[in-house]
Amino acid sequence: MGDLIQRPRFFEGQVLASTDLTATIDYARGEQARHDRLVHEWGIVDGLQLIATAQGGFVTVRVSAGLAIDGTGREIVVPNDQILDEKLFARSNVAVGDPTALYPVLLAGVDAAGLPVAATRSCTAAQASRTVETWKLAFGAPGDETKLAGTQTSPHVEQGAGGAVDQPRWWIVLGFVAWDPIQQRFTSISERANDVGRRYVGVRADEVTGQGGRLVLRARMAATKGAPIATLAQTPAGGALTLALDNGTGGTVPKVVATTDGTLESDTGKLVLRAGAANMIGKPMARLDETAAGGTFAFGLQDASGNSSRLLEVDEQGNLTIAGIFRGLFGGAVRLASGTATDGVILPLPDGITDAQVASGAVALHIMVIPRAPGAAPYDADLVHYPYWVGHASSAGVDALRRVFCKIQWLGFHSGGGAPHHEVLAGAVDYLVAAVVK
Amino acid sequence: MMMTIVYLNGTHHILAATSASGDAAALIGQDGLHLTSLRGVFPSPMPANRDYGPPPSGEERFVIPSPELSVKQLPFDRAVIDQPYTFLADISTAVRLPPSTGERLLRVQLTSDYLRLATPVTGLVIPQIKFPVDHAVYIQIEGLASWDRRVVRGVIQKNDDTPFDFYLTAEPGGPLAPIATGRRYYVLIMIEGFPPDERTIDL
Repeated sequence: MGDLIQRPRFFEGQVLASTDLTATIDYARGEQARHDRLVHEWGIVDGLQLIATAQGGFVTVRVSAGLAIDGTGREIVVPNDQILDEKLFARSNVAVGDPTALYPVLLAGVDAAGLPVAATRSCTAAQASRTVETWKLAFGAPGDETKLAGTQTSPHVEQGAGGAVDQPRWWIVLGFVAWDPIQQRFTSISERANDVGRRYVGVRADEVTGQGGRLVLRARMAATKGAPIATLAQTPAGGALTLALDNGTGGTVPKVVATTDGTLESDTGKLVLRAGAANMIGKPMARLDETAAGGTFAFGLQDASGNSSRLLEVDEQGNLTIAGIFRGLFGGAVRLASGTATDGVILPLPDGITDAQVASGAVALHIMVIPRAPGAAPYDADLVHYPYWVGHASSAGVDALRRVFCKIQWLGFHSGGGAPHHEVLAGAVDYLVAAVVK
Repeated sequence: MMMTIVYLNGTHHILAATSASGDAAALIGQDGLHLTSLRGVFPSPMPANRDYGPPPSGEERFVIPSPELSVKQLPFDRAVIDQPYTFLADISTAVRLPPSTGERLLRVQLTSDYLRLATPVTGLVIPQIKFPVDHAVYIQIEGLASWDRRVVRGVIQKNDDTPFDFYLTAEPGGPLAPIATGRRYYVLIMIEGFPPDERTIDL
């Protein structure tokens, strides 16, 4: 359970002890650390880049001056560039035999007692009257960078910079170096290894509110040429979200603009809508391309290289090219359905024709049914007494619902003569349904 | 090439077939499958000493309710299209029923409460009819009004002796629903493994 925060207060005539003055500083420092830790995300604020200088087949690596906030809210200031000490690396005992292995370069804040020595009238031992907020550079073994995320835990909420007394050092990954174990020299640097890279400070917020009608998100520092920028801006018509690139001077080169009136605009000469990632084969995609003559629109399925199979394409002349069958309707179009059906079956409409279109009069149906030849005898004929049969269709057609009716009249002739036997049985028809679009 | 068959759930009799595809609603309509003339009339005059019960009139008509029917796709078979009532729907094929000679299997009697299937009188001495295995039965009785319909599903248990009585219900498994007298009814009798039988009965 944590302690309540205490804010120092003073009164006239108070004899100030060193703890009172220290508490004054600690209060402000703790408040700042909690803000930096809990309102923001820890990471590198500025600088602290690994910079390699080639020397023959090796590199000299230095860490540029900079600022970071660690996970306890401690501010770490490295005021000057620092050369990475190869002897320190060798003593770190992290090297492996693989010359391609990448070793994390780690930074942590350290408090150290510093001068000047306080002047006292007593005979007590001299004590430091300053705390030096210094830092420590270290090297990890390959893969240590992945363990840091799971082992470094934030201090309890009331703790200030550095956390409780037993809080372990909080290490920040600055980058990676490769090491030649034979020559005992650095050979290269890298920003990422094992999907872990430099982490920069962030902010915790469910809502970010602009005040000037414009909110800008940059993936890199301003004036980093080619870095993406997202701008949410109020416009006379409502608002627009713009994805742009930095032009190198901090200005923006708009690429895609989505406006609140429902418009999606591309300034790249193309606009692509994908239903899946660019490497997912078979995902549907639509593509609008600007061409010298105007433009084209294409729909298709994505191939292995992220291109459309162009199942449908419209060019700048309005020419439509499709890979499949055109199912649309136009005046004079005729659609057909044909087949065979027994008595009682409702005949299907041709593909692309609906009952609603027929009911509205937009489509006229012409149906032809031909009774199928009934065969030699009814299926239950008494062939012993009636060996001879003649059958013909007595009726065949469809009703208003296109339900087939087909009756076969049979005449069976008794082997002993006499009047023939009459039977009527259901039959089947071959049909043709023609739908004519008006 | 495939065909679509419409068959009775209970007895697996194929009642319709088409080369078209579609669901039951599209193929037979919302109210059910409209059928007429499933079976021929008796010889006229009927040979002496024969009694199968009331004969067909040739005017029988039925609307088989959609819940009693299923639709299945099978390899196209022209014989099924031409004579669907002589086939049963099996798992992946249509199975032809044994040949019929025009004789009726059973004598039909209808009362207000039940339909009785009894041993026919054929001029020969026929012992009571019994079956070595269970046979599913579907009975539909249609009055002249479209609402006046009874649908019965049952089973003739193996080794049971005739007569077999089936009490009338508005729908299978529903409460008993006697029919009124003084009216004409069309009766459809489907026994698993045998051709359809239909009659016109004035009650």
